[in-house]
Amino acid sequence: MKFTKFAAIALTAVITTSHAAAADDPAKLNDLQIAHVAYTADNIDIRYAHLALAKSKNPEIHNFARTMIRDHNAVNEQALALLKKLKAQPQDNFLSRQLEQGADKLVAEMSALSGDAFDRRYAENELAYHKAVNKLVEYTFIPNIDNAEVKALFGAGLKIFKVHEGHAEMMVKALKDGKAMKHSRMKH
Amino acid sequence: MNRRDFLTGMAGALALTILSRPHPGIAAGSVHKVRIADFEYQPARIVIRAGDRVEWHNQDFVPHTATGSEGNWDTGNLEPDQRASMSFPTSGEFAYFCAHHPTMVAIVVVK
Repeated sequence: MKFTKFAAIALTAVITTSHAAAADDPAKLNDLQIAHVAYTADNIDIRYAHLALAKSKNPEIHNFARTMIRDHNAVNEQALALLKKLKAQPQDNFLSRQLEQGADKLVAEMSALSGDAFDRRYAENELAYHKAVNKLVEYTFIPNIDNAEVKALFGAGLKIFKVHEGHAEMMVKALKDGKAMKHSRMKH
Repeated sequence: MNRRDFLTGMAGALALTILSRPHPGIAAGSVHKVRIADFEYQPARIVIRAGDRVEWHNQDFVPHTATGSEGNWDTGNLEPDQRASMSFPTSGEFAYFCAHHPTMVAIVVVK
C-alpha cells in the first residue's frame, strides 16, 4: 500500500472506527480534548518536519519543513495563550494517543528511507496528513466546539492548514514531475 | 570607444537595469497598502502608477514575504505586524508570492 494512502486511511480509520464506539467518538470530545488533539497533531507535524530537515537534501523539502515548524509552533503558542486566558488545560484523550501511535510508526518507517524515496514519502504524507486533519477540523471539531474563542482559533488554524495542504500538493507534483516548484527561486 | 567610455556605459546600463525593477529605495510617488491577513494578500491585484510604492503589512501571526515570481525582487521576511515597501519605477505586471506559503499569490500592475 502506498504511504500516502496509508497515512490518510490510518487517520480516517481512527475517526470512523471511533464513530462506531460511542466512547471513542471524535464528535463527542469536549473543547479541552479537541485542543489537546490539535496540539498533538501540530507537534506530530513538527516532528515530521525535523526528520525531513535531518534526512532530506532537497531545498524545497527544507523550505516546506521550516514553514511547518514555524507555523505549527505559532498556532500552538496561540492555543496555549488562549487556554491560559481561559484558565484551562488541554485534556489527553483516545484520539491524541492514537495519533501519537500512528506517528511513531510513520517516523520509524520514514527514518528507514533516504534520498528521493524519503522526499516523496514525506511530501505524500504531508499532503495526506493535512487533508485528513483539515477534514476532521472542518467537519467534526469546529461544529462541535462550544467556546467562541476556541472556535475562532480553530477557524484561523484551518485557513493556515489549508494553505499547507496546497503547498504540500505543489511539492508532491514537483517531485513527481522531477521539476522545481513554480515558486521556488527565492530562498529565505 | 575607449575603456573609460565603455566602463561608464556599462555602469549606466547596470544602474538602469537595477532602477527599472522594483526596489526598496525612496520614490516620490504614492504609497499603496496591501494587507497580509488570513494567508491572503488584500487586495490580491493592485493597480498603481510607475514610480509609486507598495507597502505590505503582515497582520497574520506567522511570517510572510512578498517575493517577485521572476526572482528579481523580494521584501524579505515580514514578521507579524512588520511592514515593508518597494518602489515600482516602470510599467508592467509584477506577479509575486509568499516564499513560505507559495499558494499565496498576488500581482502589482504598474500603468
